[in-house]
Amino acid sequence: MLHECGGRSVNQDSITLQRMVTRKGTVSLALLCDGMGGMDRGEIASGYVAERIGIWFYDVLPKVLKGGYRAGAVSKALQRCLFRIHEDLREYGEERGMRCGTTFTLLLIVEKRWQLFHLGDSAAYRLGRCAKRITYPHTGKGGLVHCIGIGRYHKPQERRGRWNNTGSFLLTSDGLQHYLKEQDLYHALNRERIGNRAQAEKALQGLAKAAVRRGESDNMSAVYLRCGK
Amino acid sequence: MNGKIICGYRILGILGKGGQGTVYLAEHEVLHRKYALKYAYGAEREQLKQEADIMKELTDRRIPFLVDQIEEDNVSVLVMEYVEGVSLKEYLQNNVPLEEDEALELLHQITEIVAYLHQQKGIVAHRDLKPANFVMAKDGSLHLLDFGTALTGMESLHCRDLCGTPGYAAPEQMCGARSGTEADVYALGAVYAYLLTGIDPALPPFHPPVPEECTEKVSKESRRLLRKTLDPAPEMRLQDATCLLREIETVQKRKKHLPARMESMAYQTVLITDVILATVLVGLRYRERPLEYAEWVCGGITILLFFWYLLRSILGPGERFVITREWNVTYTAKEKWGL
Repeated sequence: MLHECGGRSVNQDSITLQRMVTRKGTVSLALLCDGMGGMDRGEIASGYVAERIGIWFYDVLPKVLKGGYRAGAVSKALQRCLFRIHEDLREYGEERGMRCGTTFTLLLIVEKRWQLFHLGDSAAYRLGRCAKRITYPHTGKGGLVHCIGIGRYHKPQERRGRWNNTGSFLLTSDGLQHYLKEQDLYHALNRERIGNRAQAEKALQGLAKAAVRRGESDNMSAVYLRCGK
Repeated sequence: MNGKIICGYRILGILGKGGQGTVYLAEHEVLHRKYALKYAYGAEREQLKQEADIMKELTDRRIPFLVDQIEEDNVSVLVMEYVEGVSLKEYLQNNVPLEEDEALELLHQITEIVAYLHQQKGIVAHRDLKPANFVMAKDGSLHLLDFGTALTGMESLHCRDLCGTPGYAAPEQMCGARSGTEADVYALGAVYAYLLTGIDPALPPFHPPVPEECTEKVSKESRRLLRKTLDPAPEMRLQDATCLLREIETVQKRKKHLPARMESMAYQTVLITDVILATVLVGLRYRERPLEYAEWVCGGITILLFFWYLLRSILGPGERFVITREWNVTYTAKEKWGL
């Protein structure tokens, strides 16, 4: 996991990692939110989303999973929660006359299946034989067009799949995307190079340093997840 | 601010920052003794005055004594005894989950201090009890700090303000309803749940682990104690720390009870032995009879035990779906909980 300020005084990104062992197997969650630098108090929006999703994970998700894993039910439950978070943030911003928004990239792993939800310009990559970006950026000419907390609520992009023992995932904030290509990410984080957590953290630090060398000044956050040993 | 001299105290460093001001470590210029200095500006000054009013009445050695209260043009300062040691939060981070006996002993020590507050003439409710507010001194004794949210007097005990730390604060505190000594009991229950399970209530989902999340080594008495302290309805909870102290002492005395796992194993052993014995006796029926009617007795016991199990599984609490929480890591620059 990487959580670096970069050239800024405050890190507006928030990360939360949760895992619970249930009667039907292990459920893990990784969430990366990039509070927007252009907006006021981005860390409030990203931190609030991380907090609420943490609560959702322990309070709501077990009820959904109790009858067995159904991707549609999980998706509906999460979207209900996201909508409420969006409305809370929007009202909070409007009351104070400021814009309080964040991107949202969430990876949920239930036993051998994964589900990804994404909104904004952060990214999720699947690392197998190469690094492949599996999310698209919600950006337009004027920058970010969809996010949590500002404007109208938009349904997040959703992807599902099976979690095999050869792949891994990388969630990154936009700070790591401007100056690094997919090849750079694959080169640093392929399975042959990463044997344990310390090596993964070192590789992520290396990527952050490379981005700074190339001129990056934004906050940089990343979560690397891999299945198996 | 380091090295700055204020009213005869030289600032050495920051001890902590909270919602009610900043606490500095300072040294008296003449006496060369260390003190903790709490500063407050603006609206926080009134709160600091209230804190001083409460602290000056408290004389227990486990509560830092108030040395001085300084009022200047734009700042108020409280000078308090400096307790050198490790915060209970830091100590627990490396040691939880504790063995049940050890956890009970620690809870007993903590509750004794809180019971002292609840036994005061005006009844003092701390309302922000959590491991970070206890310091383990070098001699192993515990000291309670931070009376910034404390209230005294029967009327103020039912003050409707939002205070406390999410996870440790009682539900009525978090929704701005009336809160008093029962809220302290809830926080003590949350601390005990943390000691037994190692799951910090201050992390998402911001509520203490339920008794079912305890390992099977934990006795029924302790689980019952958790239920009595962590009831969401304040009127159903133990009403103050004195009641809780009595309950803890009862649990410590009674704790000869078998742990849940051993109890379940004992049931199973009796049932299996009984079934085997009944089968053997039925097999021997027409050859020789060691005991007349013995097979009927064994059969009866088996049927009774079977129905007892069936009844328990129907009426008893269902199996908890979530067995344990792992990871539970959040990195964020956001300071306070909620919006």
